[in-house]
Amino acid sequence: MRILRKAMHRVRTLVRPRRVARELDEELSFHLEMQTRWHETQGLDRATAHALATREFGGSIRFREAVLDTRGVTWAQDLTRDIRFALRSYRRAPAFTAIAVLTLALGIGTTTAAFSIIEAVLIRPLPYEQPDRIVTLTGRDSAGRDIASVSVPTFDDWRDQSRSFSAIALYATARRAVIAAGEAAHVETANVSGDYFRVLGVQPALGRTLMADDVARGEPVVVVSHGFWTRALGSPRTLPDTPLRIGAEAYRIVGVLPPGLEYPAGVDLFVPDPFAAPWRTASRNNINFNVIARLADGVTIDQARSEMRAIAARVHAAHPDDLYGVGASVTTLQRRMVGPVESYLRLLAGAVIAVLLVACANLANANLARGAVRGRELAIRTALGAGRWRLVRQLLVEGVALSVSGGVAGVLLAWVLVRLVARTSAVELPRAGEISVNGTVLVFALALSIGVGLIVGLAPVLQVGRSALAATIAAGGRSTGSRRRAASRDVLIATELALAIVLLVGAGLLIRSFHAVISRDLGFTPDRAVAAELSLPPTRYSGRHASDFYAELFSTLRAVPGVTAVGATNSLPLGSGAMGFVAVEGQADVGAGAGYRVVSDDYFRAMGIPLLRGRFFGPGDDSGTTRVTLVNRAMAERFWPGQDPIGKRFKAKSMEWKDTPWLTVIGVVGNVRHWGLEQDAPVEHYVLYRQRPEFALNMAVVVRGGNAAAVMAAVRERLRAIDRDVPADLGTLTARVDRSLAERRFVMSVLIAFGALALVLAAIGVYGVLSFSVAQRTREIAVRMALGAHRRGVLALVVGHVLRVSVVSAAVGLLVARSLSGLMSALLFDVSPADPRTYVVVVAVLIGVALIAAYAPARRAAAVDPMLTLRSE
Amino acid sequence: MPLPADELLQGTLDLLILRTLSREPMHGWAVSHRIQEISKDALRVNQGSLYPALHRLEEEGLIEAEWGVSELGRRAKFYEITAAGRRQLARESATWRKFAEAVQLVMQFA
Repeated sequence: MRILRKAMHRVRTLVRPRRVARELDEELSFHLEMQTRWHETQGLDRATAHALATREFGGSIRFREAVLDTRGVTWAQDLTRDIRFALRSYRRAPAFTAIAVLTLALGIGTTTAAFSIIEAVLIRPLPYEQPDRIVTLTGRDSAGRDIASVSVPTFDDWRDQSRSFSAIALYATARRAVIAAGEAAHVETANVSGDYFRVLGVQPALGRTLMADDVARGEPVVVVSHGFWTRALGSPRTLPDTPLRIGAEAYRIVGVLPPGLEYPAGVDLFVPDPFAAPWRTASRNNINFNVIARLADGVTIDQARSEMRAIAARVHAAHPDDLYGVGASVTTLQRRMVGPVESYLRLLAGAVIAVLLVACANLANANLARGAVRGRELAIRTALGAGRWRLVRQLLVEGVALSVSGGVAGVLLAWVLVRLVARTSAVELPRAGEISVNGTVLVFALALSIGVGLIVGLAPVLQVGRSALAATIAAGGRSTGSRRRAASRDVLIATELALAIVLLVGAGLLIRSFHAVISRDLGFTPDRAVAAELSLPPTRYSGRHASDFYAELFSTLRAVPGVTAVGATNSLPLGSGAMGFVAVEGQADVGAGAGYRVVSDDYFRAMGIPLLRGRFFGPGDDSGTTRVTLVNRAMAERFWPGQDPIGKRFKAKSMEWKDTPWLTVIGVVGNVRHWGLEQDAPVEHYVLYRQRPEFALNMAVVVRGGNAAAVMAAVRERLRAIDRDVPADLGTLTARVDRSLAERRFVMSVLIAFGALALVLAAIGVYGVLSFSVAQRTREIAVRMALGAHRRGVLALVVGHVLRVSVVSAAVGLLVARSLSGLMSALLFDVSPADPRTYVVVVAVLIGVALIAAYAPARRAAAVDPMLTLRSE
Repeated sequence: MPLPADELLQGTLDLLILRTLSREPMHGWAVSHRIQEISKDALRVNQGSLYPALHRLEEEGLIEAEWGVSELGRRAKFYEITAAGRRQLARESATWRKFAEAVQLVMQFA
């Protein structure tokens, strides 16, 4: 009952505010009248009585507000009034408002964009059935490192012995030549065991997924990704009758996966595979296979872990020569997918938070300055009886109104940024296709905006809280800006500068790392060379046919004007490569690892890989003659230190299934950083493709010299003439090198962008605060000048102020940067997180920028005309 | 020396208003005048406290307001105590008495 009455009371006040106010006025004037009458009855004349009554009454306006406040001229009404007031006051300062909204849009927009990425990649569950039950199983080597892939025999043991999983599956990915709708192309495919889709729990968009039966029957069927369905097949309504040719075989399409499913990333085709011989009987060190599994009901991941630990220990005890199955790890699929980019996302989150804080500090500062100017307004309103809470609310509403406007602009910015990142990100983000500004993100942006608004609005509130308002009025409204107030502004800009330092140090360390990486020796010359990755259909190119194909292609390409050399390799640098084991004649170490690459005669000349000793392959080396090999310098130093390796012999054990013939070393070539610029060159040897025709089906042809476009056109034309069914991926080697650096470059650019943004915002902050302080101190400066201070002295005053603030912030920023830089050491290359050069340069840049920002206000201070200023007072 | 009633213990003004209104409905001025009169000018209720208090009590449903015609023939707002207000008054009076006795004891014997 009481609550209802109270509500009615408030509703009335809210609905009929004018009437309530009028009634109150009437009630008060009645009181005044009664009081006057009473004084009259005490013998005073009417005028005196009235005057006395009025005096006793006190400031009538004052308690009118107080009464309206008690009556709860409710929140809603106040709010609309406050918002209207806020908007009006912002309209009156359009420049301030524009800059403030822009600053907020940048801060909130970048934070929101980062959140949409993090939400899609890290937080949102995978689009599978009970995704948290899906795990990956990986091996471990004797050093305790996780090894992502396992061998088929190891998988068999794990599957047969484990009880923790309701389904467990094996898969291997490969790029294969596919002919769809008459077009030959390379497509990422996965061979999967029967339970693969049972582990994931995927419902197909069309047809069916693969089942254990498919593996058992050995029928060539394929399930395609939604992307492939749309891109390559033109998304027909029903499953097409025409089969898909993958490699040599025709596969019937039996199903299409739903959109947005991308595991393993980028794979478009799934074919069943029994993983029979030779894999099943191969060495346990042949680890090209990945394992996923679904936890059985009621089994926790920790239970699965301990079971797998025991199994791996048992299996390894039975097969001690197994290098990569020393242990086993169980990780959720989501963690495994996100793992590689988590450090980037963490860096991103840190960077946007820093930028957001700088933006907040900037606005808080601007609001402080405005607050000081508005001191008089606030003081008068207080005197008129506006409760302190009322003013606080007003200021908070102003802050929120501003930040929500900035938030709206920020969401638009985030929308653009998210699109941009999804399209251009060189960091391969898992589930990049799912990144969007969705409902969750919008709620986040709104909450963020309101939070920021409260923080920004709070700055002047703290001032109202403590400022002696009466003093402000007494001083004629010329608020002089108390010392404390100025100090809090300095603290804010020092914070901004310190945050900018932290970001710039991060960016600087990444720049230094980038330079360290690109100044490394690749081991080959990427300029003026084109590569074409080919796949020959195995049915037509067995044995000599492949050699003939390449011989014909090489001779046509050599005829292109400007071409100086043409060669081929089974795997180009900065990509993958096969690892193997060698047994050197006369040396005991039989398990020594060494990579191998299959190349053509002229490959080294085409790549610009230098010959250090001996000779290259030549026409005399052929399928019938002695097996020859070239080793790289690392291999020569590893196995024959201080000796001449020419003529030495070794066996490459895992290269062939059957007999392993002796390979005779005929030459030594320079090291190539095959695995990437950041890696050391592996121990490797090269064999001739004519002596290894089984490796010659998938080769990359490298053409040195000539015009890149002309060479590519010639390759295409030649392929069309020889065989239409051979897909080719063409590109320059320079582009390939760039691509290998793209991820590092992208991360660096993002951090540079954020660092620059923070620096610009901080510079605006410095400028704003100094301009304000100069304007506030004009009188003081004029007095100083009138008393004989020089302009230079005044300049020194302002510059000294900036220097003091920036030196303090530099000290703090450096400490913070130093303590945080260790976190990004995984992203650094050849640069210490404490690299002194970076820190010195950043501090120099920062102080320089602060001084530039201070230039205009300092000039203004020095230009103060003491006579004019003092007279105008 | 009159004591401004708003400097009394918090809640006391509410108690005084309720007690005053418990005899008959009256308008704001009469309430303040009555308090002043009965206390022999010892308590003086400032308008700045009186009206906020009246409106607050009205909102809490302890008193009700109605516009009527005053002794001057002018429209005036009359306040009347409600049943809830009477209950509140009884409770608060008891508390007040206990408090006053306690203070009295301390003043006498401490």
